[in-house]
Amino acid sequence: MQPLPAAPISCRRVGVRFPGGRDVLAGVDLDVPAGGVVSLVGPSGCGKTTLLRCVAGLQRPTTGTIEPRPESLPPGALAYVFQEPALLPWLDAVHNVMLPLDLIGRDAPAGRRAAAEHWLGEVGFGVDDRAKHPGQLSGGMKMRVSLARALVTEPAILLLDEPFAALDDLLRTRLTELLLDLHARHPRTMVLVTHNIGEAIIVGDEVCAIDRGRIGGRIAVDLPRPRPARVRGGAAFSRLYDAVCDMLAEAAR
Amino acid sequence: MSRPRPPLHRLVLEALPALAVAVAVVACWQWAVGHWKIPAYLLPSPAQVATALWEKRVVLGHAFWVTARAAVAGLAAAAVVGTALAILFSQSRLVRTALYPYVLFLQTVPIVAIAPLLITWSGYGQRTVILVSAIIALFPILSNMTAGLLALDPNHRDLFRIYRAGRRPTLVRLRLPTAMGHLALGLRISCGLAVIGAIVGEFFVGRGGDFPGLGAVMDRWLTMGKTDALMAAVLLSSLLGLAMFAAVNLLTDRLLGKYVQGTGD
Repeated sequence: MQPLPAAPISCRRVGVRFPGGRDVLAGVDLDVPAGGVVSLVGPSGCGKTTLLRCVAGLQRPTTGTIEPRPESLPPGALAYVFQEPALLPWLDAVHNVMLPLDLIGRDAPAGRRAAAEHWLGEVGFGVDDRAKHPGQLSGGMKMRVSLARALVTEPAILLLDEPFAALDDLLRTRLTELLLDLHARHPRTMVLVTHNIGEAIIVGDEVCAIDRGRIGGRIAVDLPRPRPARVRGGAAFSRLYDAVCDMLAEAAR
Repeated sequence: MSRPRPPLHRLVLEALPALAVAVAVVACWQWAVGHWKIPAYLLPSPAQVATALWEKRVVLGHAFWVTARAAVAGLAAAAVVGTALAILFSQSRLVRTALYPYVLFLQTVPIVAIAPLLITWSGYGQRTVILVSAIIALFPILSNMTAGLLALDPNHRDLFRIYRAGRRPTLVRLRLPTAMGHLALGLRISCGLAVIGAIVGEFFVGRGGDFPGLGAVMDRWLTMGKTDALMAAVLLSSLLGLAMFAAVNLLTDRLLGKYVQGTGD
């Protein structure tokens, strides 16, 4: 299966008003170049996830435009990693990863299985655990399966909604490194929603602060890639970390 | 992926308190009947009930079999109709709001009031007994299954939307598997009701002739004042309900067990 070429994302004056008149997003402009990675950070309830859901086509914006429109993309060109692994408990790991291919009707069953096994291997999921059901897997293993499921269609756009938020620090660092490694080998346009400033910097080419439904600031991350975990100990990382903190504080005023 | 079974000795240990209560109740009952010289037509002793059970074993055995068949058929019919209606309800809010009040209405109508009507329409036979059993057993299956089909995990629903899964794949690959736990619960509630429905149906059907089910023989023995045989039939009815519950538990555990597991999210 040929990977789909990375696609740029362009949001123009995107607004979302929830029933009751609350503006969750108010005129957001966001550009993610093809193959680029933007991290969205901000306090809870600021509209990060709503923006991601709009890009995914799960939430219709009240105003503004988003390109590409999800329905204009081929099926499977866009993938979403949820905060919880969201695996189907009655399917084993392999069949959970095969699910998107089944739903979009791509490949013969043998090809789907081969693709699922390939991606489980790519995310470091053990061969012996492939027949296990979600109830038998640890949090980290479930998140690896969830990542493999998102990648199995070789999407052009990958949207990640606080994917590692529920994991402990060590596991979180490992999976962030895995995500960076996967991006280096299979570049695709990514948007990462996170509360973790360090994660936002390490993963992103740009960090955007969102506050009360607006983009409160942007900082380009000039750290060279690859970005191993030890980058976090460097002066450049510390400078960026402070800058993002200042940007978030400024946005909150 | 069925749940691991507890070892046999643990099951026996868990059953011991209930068995001890049963032995104590039977002993007190036997003593009370002898002590106060209660006439057998009012309250036969456990020994008299056991004797009646042995003497009427052929009639009771056949009656047990007839009622069991009717209850199983009623439960199966309720499961099929309840699941089909629940699927229909899950696919359209309009259908749900249009029909669900009538399902509730059916649930509130006393079955003893409509059983004579059912006999008028369906005759004095096994078919009417199954019909009464199915009507009583339908509601828990229908309401549980409808709730299960509509109770999707929001992330699962979004996942299927992202991959543009249509109505049918969403029903087959997500809604139905999600609802299996609810179906199992509905079946467990309904299996006892199916037995009650079959016996109620036989009460009425038995009045039209020599019907062999437990409900019909109970009604006959009641009018003949054979309280010991009547109580033996009551005992068998309870055993039938317990057996149905155990069978449904075993079947749902084996067949639906993997759908009832948690995600561990």
